[in-house]
Amino acid sequence: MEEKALVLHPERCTGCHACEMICSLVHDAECNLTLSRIGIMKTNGGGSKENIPIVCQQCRDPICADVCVMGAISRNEGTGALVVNEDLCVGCKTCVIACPLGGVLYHHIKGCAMKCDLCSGDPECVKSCLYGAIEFLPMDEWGRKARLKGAENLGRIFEILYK
Amino acid sequence: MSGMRVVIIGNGIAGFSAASTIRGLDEQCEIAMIARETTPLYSACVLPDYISGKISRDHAFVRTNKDYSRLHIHTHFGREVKEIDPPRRTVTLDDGRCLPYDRLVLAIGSDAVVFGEHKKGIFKLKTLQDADEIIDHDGQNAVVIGSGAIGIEIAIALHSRGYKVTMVEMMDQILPLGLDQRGADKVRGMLEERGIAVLNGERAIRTLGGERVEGLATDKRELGCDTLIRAVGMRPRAELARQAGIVIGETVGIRVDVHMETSIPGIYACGDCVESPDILTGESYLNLFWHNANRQGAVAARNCIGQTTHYPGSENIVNLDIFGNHVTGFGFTEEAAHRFKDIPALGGTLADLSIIEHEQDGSYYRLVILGDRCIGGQFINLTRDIGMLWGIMVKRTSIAGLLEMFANEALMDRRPWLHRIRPFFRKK
Repeated sequence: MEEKALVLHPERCTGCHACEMICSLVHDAECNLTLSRIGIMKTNGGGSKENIPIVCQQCRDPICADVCVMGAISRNEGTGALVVNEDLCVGCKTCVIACPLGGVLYHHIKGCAMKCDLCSGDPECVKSCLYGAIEFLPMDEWGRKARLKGAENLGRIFEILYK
Repeated sequence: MSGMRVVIIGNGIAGFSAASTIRGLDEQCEIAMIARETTPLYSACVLPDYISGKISRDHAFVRTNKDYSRLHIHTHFGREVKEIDPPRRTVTLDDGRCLPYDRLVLAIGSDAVVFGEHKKGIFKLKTLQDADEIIDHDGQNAVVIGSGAIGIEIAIALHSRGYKVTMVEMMDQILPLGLDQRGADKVRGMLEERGIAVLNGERAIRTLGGERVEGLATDKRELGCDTLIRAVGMRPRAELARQAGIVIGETVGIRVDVHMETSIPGIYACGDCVESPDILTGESYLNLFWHNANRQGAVAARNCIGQTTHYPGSENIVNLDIFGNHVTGFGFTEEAAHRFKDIPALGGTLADLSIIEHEQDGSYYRLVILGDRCIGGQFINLTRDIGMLWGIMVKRTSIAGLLEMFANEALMDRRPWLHRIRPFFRKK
């Protein structure tokens, strides 16, 4: 399958939370911001209002999978997503603290780690976003550029961590 | 080289990681795995959860026997290796069988440090069998020697089984490798609040009782108990390598180069049995953590089959759940930085060492800063941004450089640590 990845455009995000609603709805059958795998970071300092979507970037060399003492995070070969095996996960939160991007979260009801699984290859958040702030693009040259540009907007922090 | 014979000794995470990495890259080579234990891979890190009853015994298993056959790994479980013969390139098993190899991977792990002679009621916690024995044991009054991560986890697990628990620690604080005094005192408070007694600054001298353990004598008192857990640390099992003529380091771990190759070409080692360079200082150290073993296994495997790969170094991170309070520590503590003899290797002098700490609403953090870099952090009841700080420590990003990137006030608002760091740097 062609490799695709989520590309985030903070400058297009209006902070409407539609992606978070749909994410928790499709995964946990309820609209609950605390159960969403994608999160909107809202900032209101220094005079500039910003909305920054944050979601797992499905790293090539994922630290969350390395630190998992149960080997519960593995790559789904079909979608390329790193998925949590909830039967194995013991909820120790090591992956949550290890991810530099805040891409892994803790499911406070199930008591295990939760993260973006790319909705089996058809991410609902992409479809729910009316402003094109989340795109699911093939990782060809153009897709990579778009992803890099989105990353630059994230305060260039991706650049440091992925050098 | 197709049709290469790889023999892996050990079925912990390092051994399994090596085996699965080799199979993922080379479908032709023969992989044989020898292990003392008869079970498939399980996670030793979750054994305290099994003892406390939080998870079932089956839940501790990370892989099943099917995974081994799927990866075409010939398993020799329940067997010990008697001898390695490097000139002939063979290993001899305890049943007399002799396995030839082209590449050998030692992933023999570590064992708990012995304390006193063995008596009934004295336990360690390293293997699933140890956990089974603790669960089968019928006791009420337990003493745990050592207050590292394992000691604390066992103490909590036994407490939840209804034991009266006392911890004895030689140092003046608990969790000496993960936290500085102030954080450690908080954790100690959490333990004491639930009724776990903590005795700091007491040295365990000898065990009391005859065939059965009846107590522990320290340099200050005698403690009565029917269960004694030794959790004073882990030691690499390097004896087999020593007999084969492989160089052992000063830390008693097997010495390996950046390719995880030992002093004998063709023999690799990974996991708890090796000493590995610290990612910050490059100094050889015993970094007996799951994720290090996992990565070392993969690096050893790649080099085994001819894909030259470097091991960047080991990182330490302690992550504990103390009665619902989340405690994390990574990198150097202030105490450890003071003890570290070669401070320039860390990137500064002792005079550059400073601390940023903050306490609010039951949460606490402490960052250890050397010059303009973060070299360690300790956190209680916080999970946010730890990964980022760990990341900048490992990548050696200067905090000044990071602040520049966070000149954006809007982002700063969401990064409480950076707010604490910024005034500190302005002052300088």
